[in-house]
Amino acid sequence: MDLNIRGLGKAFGGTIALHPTNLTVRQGSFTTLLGPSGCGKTTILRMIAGLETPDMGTISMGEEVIFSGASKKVVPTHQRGFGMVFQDFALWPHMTVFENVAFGLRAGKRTSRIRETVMEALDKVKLTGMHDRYPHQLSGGQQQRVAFARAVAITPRLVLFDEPLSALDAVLREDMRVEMMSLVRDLGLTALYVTHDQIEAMSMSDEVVVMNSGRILQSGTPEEVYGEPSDAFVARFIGKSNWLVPDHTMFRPEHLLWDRTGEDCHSFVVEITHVSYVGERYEFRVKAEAYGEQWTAYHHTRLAVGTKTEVYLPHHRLHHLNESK
Amino acid sequence: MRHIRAWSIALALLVLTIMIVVPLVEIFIQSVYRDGELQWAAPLRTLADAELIKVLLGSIWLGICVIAGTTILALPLAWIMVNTRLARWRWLDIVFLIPFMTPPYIGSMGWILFMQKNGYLEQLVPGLASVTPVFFTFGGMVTIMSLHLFPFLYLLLRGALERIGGSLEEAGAVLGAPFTYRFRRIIAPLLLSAYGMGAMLIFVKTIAEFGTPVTFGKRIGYEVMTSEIHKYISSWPIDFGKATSLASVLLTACLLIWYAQSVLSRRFTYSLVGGKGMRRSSLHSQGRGTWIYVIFVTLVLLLSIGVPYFSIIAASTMKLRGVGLAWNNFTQDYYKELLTWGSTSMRSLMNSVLLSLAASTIAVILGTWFAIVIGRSRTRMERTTDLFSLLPNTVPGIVMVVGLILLWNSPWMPIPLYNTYGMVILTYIILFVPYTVQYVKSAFGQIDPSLFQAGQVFGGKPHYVFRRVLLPLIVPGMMAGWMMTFTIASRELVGSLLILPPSVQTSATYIFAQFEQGQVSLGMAMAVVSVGLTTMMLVIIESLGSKRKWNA
Repeated sequence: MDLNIRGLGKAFGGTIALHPTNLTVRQGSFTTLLGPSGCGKTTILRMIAGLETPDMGTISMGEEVIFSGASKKVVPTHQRGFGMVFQDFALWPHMTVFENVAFGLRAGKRTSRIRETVMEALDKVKLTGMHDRYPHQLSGGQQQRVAFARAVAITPRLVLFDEPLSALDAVLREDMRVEMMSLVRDLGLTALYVTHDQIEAMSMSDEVVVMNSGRILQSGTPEEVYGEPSDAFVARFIGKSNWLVPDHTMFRPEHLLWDRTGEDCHSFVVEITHVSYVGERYEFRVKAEAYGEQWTAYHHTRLAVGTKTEVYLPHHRLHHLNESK
Repeated sequence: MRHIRAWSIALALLVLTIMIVVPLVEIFIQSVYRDGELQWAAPLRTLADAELIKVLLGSIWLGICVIAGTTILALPLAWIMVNTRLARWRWLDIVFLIPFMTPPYIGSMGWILFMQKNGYLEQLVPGLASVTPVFFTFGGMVTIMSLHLFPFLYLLLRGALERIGGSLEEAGAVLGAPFTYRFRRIIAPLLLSAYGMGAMLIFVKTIAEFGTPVTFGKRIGYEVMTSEIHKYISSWPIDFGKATSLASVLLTACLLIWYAQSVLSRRFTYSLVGGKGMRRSSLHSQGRGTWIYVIFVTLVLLLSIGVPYFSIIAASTMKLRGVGLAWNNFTQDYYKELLTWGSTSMRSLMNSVLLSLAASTIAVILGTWFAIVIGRSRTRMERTTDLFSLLPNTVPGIVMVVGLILLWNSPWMPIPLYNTYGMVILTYIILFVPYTVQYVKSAFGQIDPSLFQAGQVFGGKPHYVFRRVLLPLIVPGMMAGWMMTFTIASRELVGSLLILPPSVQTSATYIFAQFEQGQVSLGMAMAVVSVGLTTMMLVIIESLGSKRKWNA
C-alpha cells in the first residue's frame, strides 16, 4: 500500500505553509522530507497523521482515502492506523514503559498476547527488563527507544518520524541513527521521516524529498539529489558546491583533480587562499582566475597559502542545472 | 569571600528566626502555658469546647465547599482557554487575575451591597427581591470566596492542560485512541495530579482567609477559625488562651497541608520532557459553539469583577441611599470629602501609603538579601533560609499577626516597638517579604553561574561583580517584589486591624470601620481610591518596561 498525496495545500492565517504538493511514499520504503526549518515538512507530516487539517487536496493510503478536501472527507487521527515518533518523544509520564508501549494495542482492543507483543517490541529496541520503569527514570536515548517501540508495537501501515533525533546529543544521535535505520529495515516498515539534517537524510533514506518555503524542490535517491541537483537551493543545501556560473553550472569539490588524467578535462589556474586540516584530509579554499566564487577542494597533503597551481575537472563531472530540469 | 558568605547565611538565619520563627513558636508556647504554669492539656481542653469544635468544622466545611466552587469556575475556564478559539485572547488571562488581586473584604462588601435588602439587585430587577435573602447564607459565602480564589486554580489547571494538550494527547490519537479513551487514560490522570495540588492550596487559602469571614461571615453568623481568633483578641471578653489555641490549630493544619502538598507534588508532578515550543493541537479546534464559551467567560467576569466593582463604585457616588440608582442621584462629593487635606480619611490614606512605602522598601532589601543567601538552595543552611523566609506565605496572616503580638507585647520584651508605627511596618515586612524572596530567587535562578565566573576571570572583584553583573540582572525581580509588597501592604486589613496603635487608621481599617458603622459611601469611595491607586501604579510600572509575567 502506497501513501499518495495529491494537491495537498495548507495556509496558517495569511502565510502559506505548503503550496499544493504531490508526494508518494512507496510501501516498504524509507522516505525523508529534508529542508530548513519552516519549509513545510512538519506540516505535511502532521497532516498525514491527521493532527492538522489541510485546506485542499487528497491523502490516500492504497485505495482508502483518508483525507479529501473536495468531498470533505476526514478520517480522524485515531482511525488512520499509523505510528508516530515525536520530536519531544511525548511519552506519558504517568505510565510505565510497558503501559506506554501497550497503549496503542489497548486502545485498538488488540489485547490478546499483549504482553508478548510489548516485550517483543522492547526486546527489539534493547530495553529488555526496563518495562517497569517510568519515563523520567530513563536516559534520553532510552526514552527515544521507548517512543520507537510504542510506534511500531501496533504494526502500523506507516510510521511517521518528526525529527526524532534532534533532542539527543551528537554521539547518541549517530548511534541511534544506525540502530533505527536497521530496525526499520528489519521490521519491513514503511517510514516517512522529517529532518533538517542532511546527513540523517542521506544516510537513512531510499528516497529524499528536498523542500524549501512550502514547496518540494526535488525528490530522488540520495545519489540523485547529491549528484544531479535540479535546483540551486538543493545543490547548496546538500553537501558543498563549487559554481562556475552561479545558479547554473556547478561541480562537487571531490571531483576537482590535482593531476591530469586520461579523461577529457577542463583546467583552471587557482590560488590557494585558506587551508584547514580536518583529519582525514586537507580542505582548501581556492580562487580560480576568471571565476567569481571561491571553491572548495580536497588534498591529502598540505599546500601553502598563496600557492598557484593548475587543477582539472573531468567534463562529465560538470553539472548544468537548467538542462536537467 | 567564602567566610563572608558563611557569616551572611548565619546572620540571615538569625534575623529570620527572630522575625518569623520565634513569634510562631510563641503561639505554641502560649497555648500550653496558662496562668504561669505549663498545662499540656490546655489546648486540648479548649478544643474540646463544643463551640470551638463547631468553628473548626465550619472552617473545614467551608474549605471543601470552596474547592468545589472554584472547580466549577476554573475547570471549564481552563479548558476553554486552552482548547477553543478564545485561547487567542491572551489578555483575558490578566483580566482573570483582577478578582484575585481585589482585597477579599472589598469584594465581600461589594456583594453585600449588591444583594442586601433594597440593594442594587433589587433596584435593577425588583422581581428578584424574594431571592436575595437566600444569598445571605453559607452558600453565598462559598460563592463570594470561590469568585475570589478561582483564578489561582485556573492558572494551575491551564498550565497542566497546555502541557498535556500538546504532543502527549496527539501521541494517543495517532496510536488509535478515540477522544474518550484519550481522556480517560491520558488527560484525566495527568490533570488530576495538578488538580489535587491546586485543590489543597485552595483549601489552605480558604481556611486562612480573613476578609470575607469578618465581613460577610459575621453578618450571616457563620464562624470560622480566623474570625474567631479575631473576636477573642479584639473584643470583650478578650481571651488570649482560646485565641492561641485556635491559632496553633490553624497553624498546624496549614503547615501539614503545605507539607503534604509539597511531598505529593514532588512525587506526582511529572516534569514533562520538553521539546520545542508548545504547539496547540488542532484535535479540538472546531469553530462550533464558540458563543457558549463566550457566554460562560462573560458570566464569570460579570460575577467576579462586574458585581463587586459596580457595587462599590455605585455606593461611592450616591447622594442619598434611599433614592437608589438614578442619574440625578450621582455625586462626587464623597470623593471631595475623602480627599480633603487634614480629614480622617486623607490621614488614613496617607498612613497607608507611607507605611507601605517604608515596609516595601525595607522588605525588598531584606528579601533580596535572603534570596541571594538562598542562592540555588543546595546546602541545608540555604534550604532552611528558604523555608523560613517563605513561612509567612504558608501561615495564615492572622496567625502570624497573633504571634507578633505575643512576642512584641510580652512583658519581657526590652524593645518598645509595640504600639508604634514601627510595629506596623515590621508586620507588613514580615507578612510580605516572601514575595520579594520568590521574585528575586527566580530571577537569580535564571542567571548562569558562568556569568559570575566570567566577571571574575576578567578581573572583577566580588563587589564589582555584584554591582555590575548580579544587581542589574535581579533588579526586575526586586521591582516586582517592591510593587507587589506595596500594593498588598497598602490594602492589608488583618495586620492593620490588630497592630495599629490606638486612634491610628489606614485605608483598610477606615473602609472596614465606615462599613461597620453604616457610612457606606465614604468607605466605598476609599475602596475605589485605594484599589484605583495601586492598580494605576501597577499599570505605570508595568508599562515602564518590566517584562515580568504575572504569576499568582
